[in-house]
Amino acid sequence: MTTMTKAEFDATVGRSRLPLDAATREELFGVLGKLDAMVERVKRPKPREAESALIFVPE
Amino acid sequence: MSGPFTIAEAAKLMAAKKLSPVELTQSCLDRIKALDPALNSFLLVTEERALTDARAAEARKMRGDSKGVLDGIPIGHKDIYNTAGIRTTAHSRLLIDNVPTEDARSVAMLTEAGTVMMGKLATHEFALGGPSFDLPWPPARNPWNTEHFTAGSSSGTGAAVAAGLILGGTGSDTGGSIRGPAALCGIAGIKPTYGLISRVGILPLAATLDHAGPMAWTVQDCALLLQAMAGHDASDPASAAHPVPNYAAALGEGVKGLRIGVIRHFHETDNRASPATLAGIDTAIDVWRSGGAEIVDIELSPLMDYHACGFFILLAEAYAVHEPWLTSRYYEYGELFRDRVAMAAFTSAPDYVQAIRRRRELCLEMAAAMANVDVVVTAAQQGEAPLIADVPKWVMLDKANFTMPFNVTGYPAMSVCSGFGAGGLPVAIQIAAKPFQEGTLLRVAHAYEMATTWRAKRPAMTEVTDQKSAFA
Repeated sequence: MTTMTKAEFDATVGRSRLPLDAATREELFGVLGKLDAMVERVKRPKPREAESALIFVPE
Repeated sequence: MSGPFTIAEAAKLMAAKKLSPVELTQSCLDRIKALDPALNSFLLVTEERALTDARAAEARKMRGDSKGVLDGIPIGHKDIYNTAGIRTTAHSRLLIDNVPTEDARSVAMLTEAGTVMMGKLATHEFALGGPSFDLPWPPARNPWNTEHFTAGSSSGTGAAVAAGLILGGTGSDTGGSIRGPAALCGIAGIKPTYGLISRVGILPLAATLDHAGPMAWTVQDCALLLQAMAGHDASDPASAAHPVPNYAAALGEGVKGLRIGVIRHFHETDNRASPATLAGIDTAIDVWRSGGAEIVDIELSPLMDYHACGFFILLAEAYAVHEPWLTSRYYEYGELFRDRVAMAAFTSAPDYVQAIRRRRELCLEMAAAMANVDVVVTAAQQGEAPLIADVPKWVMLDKANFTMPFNVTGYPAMSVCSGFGAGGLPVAIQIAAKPFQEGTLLRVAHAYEMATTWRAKRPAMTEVTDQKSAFA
């Protein structure tokens, strides 16, 4: 079950400009909880070593 | 002439002038006509081009000017590889009339090596949306049982190679799209190190995860194709200026002295593989141990952590590529592609940043875990191919796949047939090595393949009446 409300979902669809019909909206809203669970897996605290960085090899 | 041949077998026969490129190509064309109506592996058969290529190869051989082992070998290209003057559709209605003016870099390299272009092969739409039944062409079917799935997205290459319609072909792999079809179709497929093969001219799915690579019946054939495809390309920002060794040279050296890590929790608990798949892994371990390798268990983060990280990055990057068309031509895509990628709209930029950070963590973890081993092994797929009609639309949200860890980290990995399950369809092991250690990876895979009898068995297909031809 997603934590996003239906109103928040509809607002997000509007912001995305995706021309979703009612049936597609219903289906995507129904599976959002599974996506949320995956997002949670990547959100836990990380060490400094995990920061993105530009790495240069000196010539 | 009997067959189907492997690339190495055909090359040997052609070198001895016991097989001609034209004869071999015609035989493949005949086989496509007879069998492909049931497989749908080709979106387009370029018969005229194939015969022209074959005649040129034959002329070179007759005057003693062969280009090497791939000269005169019939192959096909996944239909996300650009081919100059030849339709390249990504299996999508949106590109149904797309005719590129230039070859993808790797297509050009394989052509330069003398291969014969047989045509363009089925894919999941834009390498993600499949198996789909609402596209201009039907999905490819598994030659071991056409009611079953090929996996994707390099579905046409998997099916065509397994059925002996071509001797090898190209695939692309963003989360397992080479290794998945190779596994379920019972062939070999290698996703090399990120940056080893140029992606220039290949339609992108997710730039930081996309890899190009070859698929063929044997590990040896993969090595021969990889040799022609690998190399630095300054036009691809990910391309590595790394020396390309002779991949076939070390194939027969065995595994004595190598250390092989088993990521047991991936296939025993995180996503428990089928009994046949587990048996295949155990057999491989026995083969390598008896060949003198040391076997050790290694532990990584849960498979789902790798899957979630990779899937999340894939979604966001694919959405960025397709956003203009998703917002203007949404319903021209097939349902599976459009709805899967649309999920990215419900995630945030901070979520993407967190996924990138998690990726860095996982890369460091993989590097540490592999510091004292040469290769690691796990399953390539959970088990045999499911019925094509039973593949869930949201499977990627439900189950962690075994292949994604090596897209997230960019490490080279390959799928090798390891037997057959209770349903008579193939199962496969997956082997991965450290960056740019494709030679070791192929050597370990080849040692296993040579110790087993799985390569002696081809799908038993019968000729079908032409229903819909992909011939141009």
